[in-house]
Amino acid sequence: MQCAETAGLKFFREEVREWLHANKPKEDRPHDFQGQIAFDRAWQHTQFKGGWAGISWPEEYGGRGLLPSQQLIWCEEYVRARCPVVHDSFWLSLNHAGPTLIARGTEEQKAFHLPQILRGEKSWCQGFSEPNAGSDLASLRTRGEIDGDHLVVNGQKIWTTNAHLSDYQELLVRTGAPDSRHRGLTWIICDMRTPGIDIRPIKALDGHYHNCEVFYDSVRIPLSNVVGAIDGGWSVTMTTFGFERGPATFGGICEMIVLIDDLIALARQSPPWGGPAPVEDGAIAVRLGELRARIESLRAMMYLLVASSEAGVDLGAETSFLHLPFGETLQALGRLAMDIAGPAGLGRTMSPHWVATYLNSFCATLAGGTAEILRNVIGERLLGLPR
Amino acid sequence: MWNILLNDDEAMITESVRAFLSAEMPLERLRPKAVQADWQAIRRNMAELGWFAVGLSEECGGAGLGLVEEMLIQREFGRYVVSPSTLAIVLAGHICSAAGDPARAVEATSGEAAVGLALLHPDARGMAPAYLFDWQEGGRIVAWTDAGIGLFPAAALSGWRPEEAMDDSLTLHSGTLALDKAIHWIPARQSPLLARARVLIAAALVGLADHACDLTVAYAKIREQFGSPIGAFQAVKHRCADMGVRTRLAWYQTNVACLKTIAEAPDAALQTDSALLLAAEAAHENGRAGIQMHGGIGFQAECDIHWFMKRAHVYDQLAGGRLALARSVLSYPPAA
Repeated sequence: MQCAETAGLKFFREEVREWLHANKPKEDRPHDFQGQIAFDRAWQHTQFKGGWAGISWPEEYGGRGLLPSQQLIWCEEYVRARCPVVHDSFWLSLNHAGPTLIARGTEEQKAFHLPQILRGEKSWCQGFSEPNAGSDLASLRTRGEIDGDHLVVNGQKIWTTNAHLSDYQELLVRTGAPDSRHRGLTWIICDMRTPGIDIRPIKALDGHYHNCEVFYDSVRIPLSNVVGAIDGGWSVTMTTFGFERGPATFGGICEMIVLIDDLIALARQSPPWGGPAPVEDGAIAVRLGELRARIESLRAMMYLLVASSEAGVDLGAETSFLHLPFGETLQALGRLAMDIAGPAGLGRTMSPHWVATYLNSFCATLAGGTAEILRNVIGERLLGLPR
Repeated sequence: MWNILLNDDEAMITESVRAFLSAEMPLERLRPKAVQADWQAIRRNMAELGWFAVGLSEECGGAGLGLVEEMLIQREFGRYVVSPSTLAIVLAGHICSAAGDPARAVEATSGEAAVGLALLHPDARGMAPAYLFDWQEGGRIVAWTDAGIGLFPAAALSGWRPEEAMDDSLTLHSGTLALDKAIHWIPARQSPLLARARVLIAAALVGLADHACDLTVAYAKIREQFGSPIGAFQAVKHRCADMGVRTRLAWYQTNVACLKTIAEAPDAALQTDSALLLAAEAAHENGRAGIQMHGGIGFQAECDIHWFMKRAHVYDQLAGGRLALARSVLSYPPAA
C-alpha cells in the first residue's frame, strides 16, 4: 500500500480540470436521434483534438499511452465539471468495444477501427441478447453461415442499446451446431449500414429510446471482421464482459460521487411544501450516510483495479464483482432521491434530474448481466461455490 | 492515486498472523466445553512477535512500521474474535509514546499486563459513565471521548461492578471513570491517535465480516440437502455472494481510510467514518446471514458462527453506532 497522489498526477488533474472548464459544450444534448449523434460526435472530436481521447489507449492507434490512473482522473474531473452524459453513443466504443479490440483484435482491425472511435467518427453498439437468450447467453440462435470469405447472418437481437445511433456492432452469432452452447459462438464486427439490417428502436419505461430490436436478413459480413476465431467467440465475450463489468463502470461511479453530493444538499433544504429538512429524519440520514459510504467504497475499488492494472498484478475473480454493487447502489440512490424529493418527485418538470436518474436506474441491475447472473458468477468464481 | 494493493511484506504479515491465530486461538476455544487456553501466555507470545508495538518507534520497543501493518493485524484479531484488550494494548503504547514516556510504552506493549478497553459517551467530561471490555481488577484502562484519548490507572475507576456481557466471549464491567485522573491524556487536536484508533476498529469489524463469510461459504460447500450442496442453490449462493461483496468493499474502503489517515488527507475523516459504517454493517449482516445459512445448528452455542454477530455490536458501539456514524458521514463537505 502506498500513500498520496504524486506531483505528476496532481499536475495532470489540474490540466484536465482547466481544459474541461474551457472546452465542455455550452449547449444541452438534443433529444432527437440525429441531433444526438451529431452532438456526441462533435464532443468526442473536440476531446480528440484536445488530446484527451483514449488516455490509456496505445499511442499507435491514436491514444495517449498514459496510465489507467490518469484515465480515472479524467473520469472524476469529467463529471465534476458537469460535462455531457457519460453514457452517450460513444461510451460503449470507448469502454468496451475499443478495449476488446485492443486486447483481442487483429492489427488491421485495430488500425482501422480504434482511430475512428477516438476521432468521434464511428460509434459502436453491442449485439449479444436475443428474445430467447438473455441471462442464458450461450443459448443464442442468431445464425452465422460461412459463405466464401463472408459470414452470412440471419436472426434477431434485442435490447441493443443505441443501435440506432451506431455505426458498428459487437455481434455474437452461432456458427457451430445449434446445441453447441458456448463452444459454437463467433464474435464479429458488424457494420450497421450493411444491407439486410433492420433497426427498430423501443420506447423504455422512462419514455426514451435507449434500446432497439435488430433484425438480420442474410447480412453479409467479411470474415476478416471476426475477432478471435470462428467458434471462439465465448472467450472474446468474456474479455468484453471483463471491461463492461469492470473499468467501464468507472464513469458511472464517478457520476454517483457527484450525484450523492447533490442529493445531500437537497436533503438539507426545507421542502417547498413546508416541514423540516429531510436529513433531520434519522431514517433518511442513515440511508443517505450509508449510500455516501458505499459510493466511497466503490471509489476505493476503482483504486484497487487501477493499481493492480498498473502493477501488472492479476487479481483474478477478486476484481470481477464491481458491476453488482455499482448497479444496486445507483438504484438505491434513485429511490432515496425520490423519497427526499417527496411530492416534487411526482412531476418530471418539477425534479427533472432526479426523476430521470430514478427511472433510468432500473436498467442498472439488468444491463451487462442481471444482478442475479452476477451473483451466480460471484458465488461460483469468487467464492468457489458449486454450480 | 491511492494504491491499496498489498505488497509482499504486507501479505506476509497477514499470513503469519492468521497462521498463528488459527493454531493458538481457533474459534473452537470459545465453545462451551473447550479447554481454556493460557491467554496470558498467548498474549506474551504475541508481544514477543511484536504485534502490539509494530507501529511504535524503536525507542518505544516498536518495529518502526505504521498504521498499515497495525490495520492488517487488527483485521486478523477480528477474524479470530480476539479480545478487544489487544486494541487497548496497542493504543496504550501509542498514548505513552505520544506523551513522551517510552518506558511505559515498552511496558504497556510487553503483554505482561492486561489493559481494559472502555466505552464512553463521545461528549463525556469529568466523571464519565463507562463500560469496560476485558478489564481485570487492578488493571489499566484505555478510554477516549471526542476530546482525546487516555491511559488510566485502575484507581480512576469507581463504583464498578461486573455485568453479564451480551458478547459472552468477553467480560463487561460498568463503572465511573474520572477523566482527570489519566496517567497520560492526549488531546484529539494534538495527535492523530484517535483517527488511527478508528481505522483499527474498522479493520477488526472487517475481520469479523470476513471470517463469517469464509465459514458460511465453507459450510455451503459441504452441507447437502435435496441431494446437492446447499451452496449450489441460488437462494444460498446469492446470500454468500452478498457477504463476499460487502466484506470486500468494506475492506478496500478501510484501506483507503488508512492511507488517507496516514497522509492526513483533507477527507481522511470522511473515509474512516465511511469505512466504519460499511464495516459495521458488513459484520452485522454477515453475522446474521451466517447464522441463517447454517440453519438450526447456527442458533446453537457450540457453533462458531454466532461470535461474529455478537462482537460486531461491541465494535459498532465503540465506533459510535449506526446513526451517529451516518450523521458524521453526512457532515463532511463534498470533495474539492
